[in-house]
This record gives sequence, C-alpha cells and structure tokens, in this order.
Amino acid sequence: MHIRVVLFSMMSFFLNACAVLHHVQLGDVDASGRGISKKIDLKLSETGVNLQEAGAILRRLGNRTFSRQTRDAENILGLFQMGPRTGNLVYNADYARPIFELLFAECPSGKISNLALMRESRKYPVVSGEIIKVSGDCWQ
Amino acid sequence: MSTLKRFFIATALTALTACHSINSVSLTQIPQQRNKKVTAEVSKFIFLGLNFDNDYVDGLVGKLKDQCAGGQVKGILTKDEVINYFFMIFHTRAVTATGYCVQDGTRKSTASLEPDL
Repeated sequence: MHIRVVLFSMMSFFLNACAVLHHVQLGDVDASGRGISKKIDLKLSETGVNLQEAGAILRRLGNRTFSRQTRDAENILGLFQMGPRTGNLVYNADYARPIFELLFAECPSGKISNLALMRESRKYPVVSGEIIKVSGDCWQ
Repeated sequence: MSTLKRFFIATALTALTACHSINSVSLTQIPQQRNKKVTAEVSKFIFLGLNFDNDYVDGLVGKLKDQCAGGQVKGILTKDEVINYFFMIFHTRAVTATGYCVQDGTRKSTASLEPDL
C-alpha cells in the first residue's frame, strides 16, 4: 500500500505540467462600456521537445559508445539552434501564424480592444506545450 | 561581535535580500493627455518552481478597467518581473501594468484591425 501511495504521488507530480510564463503584453484598454462587446479567447499551441532531457535519457539507456554518439548528435543539433528563444524547440515554426485569421473569424467586425497576449509553456518530462494565448473584447 | 555572529548576519542578509529581474517589457502608444496615471499589479508566490497555471495574469485588464471607468487606458507599460527570495527556493512572479486614463468622450475601439478611413 505504501509503495502504491508513493507511486501515485510521483505520477500525480509528473503528470501535472509546470506552467512557465515567458511574456505578457497588454494593448490599450477600453473601459468606456459603450456598445456591445463579446469576449474573445484564443489559444495556439505546439509540442516542444527538450533535446537535452531526451539526450540524457538515451545516454542512461545505452552503452558507452551509444552515449558518446548521442552526445555528438546533441552537439551537432546545438550548432543549428542558436539565438534567443522562449521555451523548447518546436518542429512547426508556423504555428503562431493563424492568429490574425482566427481573430477575424472570432470578431468579423475587426474592432478589438483590451488585447492581452501571453506566451507560456507547459512543461512535462522531455516534451512541453508551447502556448500563445490571446484574449480581448470584440465590439459589434 | 564574534566571527560566527557576523557570518550568520551576513548569510541572513544575503538570503533575505530579494533578487529582482525583468522577464519582458512592452509599451503601447503614449497619449497626449497624461493627467491620470493608473497602475495594476497581479502576482503569484511560487515555491520550488511548482507553478501549475498562469491564470493570475487574467485579472490585469479588469483591474485597469476598474480604475478608468468610462475612459480608455493608453500608453500601457507592461512589466513581467521575477523576484527571487532565499536562495531562489521561493520566488514571486509579478506583472505590473501602468498607463494613462484618457476620458475623451467618444468611444472608439483602441486596437481595431481595420484602418481608419
């Protein structure tokens, strides 16, 4: 029973994603309250991969040669992944592109205020959810 | 004062001093009318980096709206800060928004996606 409790606690701990906030941006806020507004909430996400964590697991599983090869592969990949970034690497760089289309679909009038943009990550072991959240008010 | 006491005081001072860092900053167009400044802050205290949501940020726009009833808040400076305490075991994430409340009497969407004709 004791082991079950420990395993259950560990599973609950690892399955709960740690939320990391990278960036918050607010647009001008309209508090006039005139006209009818509808709340908009958009969420775009993509799966990110932590190659260092994946590499560490592979090194543990394999023998010395495999471990060295994994490290070499990691180093080579590292050469192509330079520059500032938030969160883990994603393999679809265009996942944030449809923001405008989605905003227009949610708010055909195009009159949007109180925009709040949030860039966050949900971290799990090795993988992560790389998320962009947009909220605002659509004026009719 | 003994060396041990000095050491403890120095350690306590180091541990209790919070390290402050800025994660991101953004600014919107600053208005001409800057009579009324409004500030709103939301924060979350995090232990050992265990944070399971960032919902605390959602209340920020509402807090700004409450301070500028019937007007528009423009020139918003948004700061996302991290305040580390006690050897980074505890930390606070704080998002502060400071702007100017403009009461211009005419309602106009502030972030319209359509250009003004």
